[in-house]
Amino acid sequence: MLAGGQSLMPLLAFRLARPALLVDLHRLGAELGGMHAEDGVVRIGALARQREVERAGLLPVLTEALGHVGHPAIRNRGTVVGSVCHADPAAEMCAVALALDGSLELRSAGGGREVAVDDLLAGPFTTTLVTGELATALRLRPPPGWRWRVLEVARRAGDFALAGVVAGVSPSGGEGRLAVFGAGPRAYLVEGDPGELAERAIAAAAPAGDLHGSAAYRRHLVGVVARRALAALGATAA
Amino acid sequence: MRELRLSVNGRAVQARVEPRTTLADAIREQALLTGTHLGCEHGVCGACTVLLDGVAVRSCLLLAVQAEGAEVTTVEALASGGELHPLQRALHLRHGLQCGFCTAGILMSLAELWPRRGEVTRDEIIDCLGGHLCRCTGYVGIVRAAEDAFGLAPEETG
Repeated sequence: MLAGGQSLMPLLAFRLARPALLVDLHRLGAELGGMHAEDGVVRIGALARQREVERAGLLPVLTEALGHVGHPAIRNRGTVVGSVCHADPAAEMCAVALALDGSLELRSAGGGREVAVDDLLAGPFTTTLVTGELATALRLRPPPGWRWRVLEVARRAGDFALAGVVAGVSPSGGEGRLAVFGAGPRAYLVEGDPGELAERAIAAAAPAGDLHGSAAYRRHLVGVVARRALAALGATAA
Repeated sequence: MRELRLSVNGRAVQARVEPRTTLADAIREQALLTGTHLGCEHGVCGACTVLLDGVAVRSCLLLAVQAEGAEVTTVEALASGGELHPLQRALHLRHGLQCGFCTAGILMSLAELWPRRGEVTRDEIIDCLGGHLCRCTGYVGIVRAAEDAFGLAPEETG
């Protein structure tokens, strides 16, 4: 299924994916494009380009996170929903979706269902979508009044993060959330007392080492970005 | 093979492509415009950037069939009547290129911003250039050229 193609096309170029059939969605822009906010729920259509969503500024945390996704020319084509479905462990969009109680609307010939992004992400580049299902939209449910910060460490701007967080704190400062990406087989969420979140995020990290950074270094970075983001939000002492 | 009608730089191009043919290959081999360069062929280097309906895209990450009905603009469209485009002139004056392989892509990414010149910020230019790899210049000349072209004062460097 080809939407923005900014992940699938490289996979095809490397022959890592060799689909017998490729379905291009781009002529369904009227049905699958666009985005809107209603009753506290932000709905982003499957063909809404990342750049379009970034510029629409529906949610400051989404705009901030999209600024870290690839480069402008990549975001001009790439879609938010496609990024979630691709399930890259280092994808900012999966973490934002987890942090904001995100779910995907799915449709198939047999009907439709909605799946929480937490239940969707099965592992690296692996989801619980079944053959014949098409993701038509992402729904985000930002808790009212929360403040957010997105922080990541990457070797160069636009590179995949070695580790990153989407951090949030409730209006009272008593509750916090950390969605961590780039530090395990999939993005994950820890929530609760902001003072304990960084340690819990480190404990839950299961990064793989590669030539860009060892597992120990990446685990260390989870703590660094988590503590910095929470301090920037005033949720913990700097 | 598929018959395809593309519009490149305002010219209708009749192309015969396989469904898997990238827009980059169609531009080079069917429209015979070889100013668009292919570096990494997986979206990282930015060399193949062109405009699709005025929006900068990696032509290696698009299939030619996806460009049907859209206007494709390549680096060949920038200069007119033997006169370099202001972006090209600035790169020339500021030594923003050496081998020139990455230059066409950089020009097309900057060309997306060109209609908004006057309101384009330095951060936007850096974000835009961040999507391009250049193995010769060390980038300083490219950044200065872009600042010049967009009428921005260069940032103090240490």
